[in-house]
Amino acid sequence: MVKRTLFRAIPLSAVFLLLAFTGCVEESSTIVTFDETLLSTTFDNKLLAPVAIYRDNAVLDTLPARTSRTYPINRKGPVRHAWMPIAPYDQFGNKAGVEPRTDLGVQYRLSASYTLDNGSVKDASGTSRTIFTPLVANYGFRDVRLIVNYQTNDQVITNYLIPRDASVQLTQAPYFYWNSESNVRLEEVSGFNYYMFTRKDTLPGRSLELNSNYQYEGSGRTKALVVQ
Amino acid sequence: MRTRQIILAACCAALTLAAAAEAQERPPSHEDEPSTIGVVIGVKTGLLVTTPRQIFPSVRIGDSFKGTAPLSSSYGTLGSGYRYGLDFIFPFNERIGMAVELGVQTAAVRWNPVTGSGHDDPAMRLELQTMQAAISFQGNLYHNRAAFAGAGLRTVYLTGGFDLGIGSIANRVEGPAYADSTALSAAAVGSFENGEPFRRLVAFRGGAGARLGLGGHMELSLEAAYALALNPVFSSEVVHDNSFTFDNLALQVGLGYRF
Repeated sequence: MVKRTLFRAIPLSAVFLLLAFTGCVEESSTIVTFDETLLSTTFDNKLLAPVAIYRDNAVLDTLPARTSRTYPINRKGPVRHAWMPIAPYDQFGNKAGVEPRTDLGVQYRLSASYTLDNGSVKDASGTSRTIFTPLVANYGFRDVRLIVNYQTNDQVITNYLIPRDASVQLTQAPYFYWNSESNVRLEEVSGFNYYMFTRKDTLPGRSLELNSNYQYEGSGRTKALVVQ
Repeated sequence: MRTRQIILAACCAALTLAAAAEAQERPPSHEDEPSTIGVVIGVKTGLLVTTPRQIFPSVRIGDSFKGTAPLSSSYGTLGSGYRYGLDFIFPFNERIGMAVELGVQTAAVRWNPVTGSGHDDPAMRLELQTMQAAISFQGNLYHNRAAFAGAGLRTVYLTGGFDLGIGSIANRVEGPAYADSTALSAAAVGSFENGEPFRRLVAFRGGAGARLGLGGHMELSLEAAYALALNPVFSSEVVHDNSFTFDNLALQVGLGYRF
């Protein structure tokens, strides 16, 4: 009885496993496109920073923060786009923030439209990530410098200064990876004080949260982090 | 994509073995007979025969100088394929029930080579692998209560419903490519880089089948079903005025466990 049942079941199981391992359609790296003239591509930048738009690995344009533009194509064949947020420079001329380049792949739509927001980013390994920009309002007596994701895998220590009585620029804001341990540390430049904002802080005004206001939807802006 | 396929196949295999083990652990007794309206969970696999319909759009494979030119379905020939997956049957009574099938389908659509200009172009072939969900109703033409106690023909049924493509896994195009305006065509192979060109295919699926008791809870099913595609393969946003699609005839065999 046992033998008979197993003789019945094992061959069928084997067929399923065989189909899975050998039956996969072998894709080719050669790109197939339709013999159609592609018309245009529209990019809608939702970030609070300019983004570089690439077409076939060459820079096509720099799209300012919170701007939408349409670029004509008018040709056949494979057209590939990518984009990358442009980080501001800190006081020593180094980039403050991450600049992940996201490949959008081959465009097949005759008129394509892409929304570039804080949730449509891929890092160097091709993994989907979310980015954010801390909105800092410095009402303290000293300038503060920005450190993000302190002591986590995504740590970025910058010399990006937020002067006293000023906020982060909303047209060229620095972006960072958002993870479960994300935090913002603001250190006084000429002092010993620092201010820490974490996602787990329960004190009012100290918690690091993304602003869900529809006006800034997709920008990845946090609720105001106030230094006073 | 491949991982998802392997997981599904492993689930199918595990279910088959589990059902088989369950069947052999308990000797059949009168109290342990499956219900005549018991739910059936099983695995199913089978072969497809495909035929193209309407005009296949002109495509460029790699750096081809020009497209393959639109290809009429009159050049179409029979293609092949296969599908496999999990099969669930929920009888409402001894006459009618509902069936749900989740699985992977691989379909190869083929055309004969285009002749002319003193030479033959290489034949076109499109291979598509998709995740499928089929939902259908089954009406029993024959229902033998006595066979539920042991082996034998239990039901003969007609089935009708919809076969839905729920995701693209892989694709492959074989056809002619042209080095320049004067060169003859050469055979080339390529793939659409992502699933953007493809619609979620919807097909009306109708057929007939039979379920045979293997003793106790185990059942063997045999089914033939024709899927008539209701929408084009390619999105209208990627290619103008094209309604290319394909139909298929599936011949499937399954092993199920009836509760």
